[in-house]
Amino acid sequence: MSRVLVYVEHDGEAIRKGSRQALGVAASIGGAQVEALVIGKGAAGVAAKLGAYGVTKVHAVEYDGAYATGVWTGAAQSAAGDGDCLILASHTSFARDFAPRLGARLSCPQVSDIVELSGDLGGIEVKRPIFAGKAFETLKSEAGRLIVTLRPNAFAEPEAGGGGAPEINEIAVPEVPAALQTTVIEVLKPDTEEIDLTEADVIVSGGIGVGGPEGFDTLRPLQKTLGAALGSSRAAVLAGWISPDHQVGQTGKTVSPQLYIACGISGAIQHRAGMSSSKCIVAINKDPQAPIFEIADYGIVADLFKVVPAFNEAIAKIKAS
Amino acid sequence: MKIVVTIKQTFTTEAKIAVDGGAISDKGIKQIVNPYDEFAVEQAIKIKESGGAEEVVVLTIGPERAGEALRQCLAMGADAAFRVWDDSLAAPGAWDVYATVLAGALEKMKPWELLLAGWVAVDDNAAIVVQRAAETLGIPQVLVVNKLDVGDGKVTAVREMDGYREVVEAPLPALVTADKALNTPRYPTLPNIMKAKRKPLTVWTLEDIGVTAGSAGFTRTGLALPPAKTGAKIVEGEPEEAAVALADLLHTEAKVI
Ligand SMILES: Cc1cc2nc3c(=O)[nH]c(=O)nc-3n(C[C@H](O)[C@H](O)[C@H](O)COP(=O)(O)OP(=O)(O)OC[C@H]3O[C@@H](n4cnc5c(N)ncnc54)[C@H](O)[C@@H]3O)c2cc1C
Repeated sequence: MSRVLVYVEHDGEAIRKGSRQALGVAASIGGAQVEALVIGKGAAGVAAKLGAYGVTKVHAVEYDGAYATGVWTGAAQSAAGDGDCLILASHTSFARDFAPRLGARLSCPQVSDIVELSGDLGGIEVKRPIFAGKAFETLKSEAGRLIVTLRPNAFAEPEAGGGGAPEINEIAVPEVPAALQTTVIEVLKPDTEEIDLTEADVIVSGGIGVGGPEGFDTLRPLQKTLGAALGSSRAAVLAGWISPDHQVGQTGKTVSPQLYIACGISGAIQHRAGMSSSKCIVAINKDPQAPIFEIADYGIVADLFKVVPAFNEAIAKIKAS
Repeated sequence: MKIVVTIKQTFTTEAKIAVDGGAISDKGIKQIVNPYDEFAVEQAIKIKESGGAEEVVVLTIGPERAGEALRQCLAMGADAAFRVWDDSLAAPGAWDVYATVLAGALEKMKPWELLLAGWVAVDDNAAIVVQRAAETLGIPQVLVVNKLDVGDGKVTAVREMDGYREVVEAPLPALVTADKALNTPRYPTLPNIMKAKRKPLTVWTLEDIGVTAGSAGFTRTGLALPPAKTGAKIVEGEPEEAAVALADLLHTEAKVI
């Protein structure tokens, strides 16, 4: 039987979607003993919820500060222990930061940003996009200890329910030597609370076709109706119409929502790199030759300023019924 | 102060990917310095130009061809370049081995105070190797950085987190990885390209850096192109009518609304 340790990210109360998906992957591994690692303020409360995901033991670190590489790496090292263990985490900014260092400490291999996983420890196979989704590689590892980070939204979210209270193993906040200490001096929050692109189910995205910063106002009502995140092309970012946080693509965010609606985006290869794994792609573009139509599932060839408001109204009607 | 920048040679982002004999074909493909690494090189040169460093050295793990990428960094303004290679490193999935090799080379290059790299390579998309090496070397890291100050024995950097940013300090020596808004990389001028040809480029074997590679944690068992899309179903009609029909299709056919 293998031990699977899932790093569970949270906001003090709710479990992050990508972590719930990782818990689902853990539970799908036959006969695995699922454990979790929870770090941060409110860790104990989050730990108590994890029985419903099939977790039997939680390593909890009650910690008041901001994310710190040394603390996270040290806690994960304690939780992993000495024996065989498959360590799973959603490929978030935290995991991207500590997972490689954990690999060095545990002297075990790591693979990142995978979209499929099969097998069990000793014979795990994973699939992951390379060349920005222009190809997929399958990799196999026979290691008994392994770290795997999962692309957000590439895995289904499990049903939570039942399960007993997990055993809690409280871990003291690890000591970090001075030479390794990083200090967060300031947290810069965005002006508005936007839905995180990487975990969004629906993304409404705008490009040069929206015509200017105010063009995004045409997309906002639709974004709201759909409960979507707002994306953009790099050209719109470079034009200064929208902040870089919204950029989707090779040098922006990589997203795989259920529904991606590209409005006035031509579909350059670098843009497609960030969104081609979306389940359903809709393109609204007045140029029938725009390459975005090659990868879209549905398209409308027309002026987006005529389409989007009517589309929003129609969606609102469907949602209301 | 000496700055080391680790770089990787990658395909251009426009490259069309083809599979040939179970491997990605590099036939006819233009290779460049990984775009994020270019930001790291530019930043290092900027720090040197502003008097914050005496020397900028670039390091890569790569076959002979990767020497071209190093020459480009030298033409941008780096002072010296190092390339480590062994044919056993050609297999994919060997991030653990690469980290060991990189740590070995960086150990040999000591003393240096700042290690810069791109936050991810656009080809293998792993973002593992240099961070893993940093742990082995016992230095802190600040990743995905869009603003960087170096001075007083520390780095102060603005890093990208999911949905927010943080201003972070770390003592030197430290690793900082670059994101796209850090700077605008310069184009090498012709005189600098000529000059770069005379700058030192050292090639190391694994023996030279005292590293035995060991076996990789992963081996590649398959490679495939994404399934071809058949093209969009175009919803016809007046824009407003098409919009309503599209909403309906997404609800009843695609079932995504
Ligand atoms: C190294 C590198 C990295 C890059 N990284 C990224 C990246 O991460 N993300 C990214 O997006 N790009 C990236 N790019 C840029 C990319 O190549 C394109 O330039 C960019 O994606 C184009 O943005 P766009 O589609 O908004 O603009 P355009 O290509 O100008 O397309 C605008 C589209 O809007 C349509 N349109 C205009 N008016 C209307 C209207 N009223 N109604 C409907 N349609 C209309 C036009 O028909 C056209 O198809 C990168 C480039 C390089 C070289």
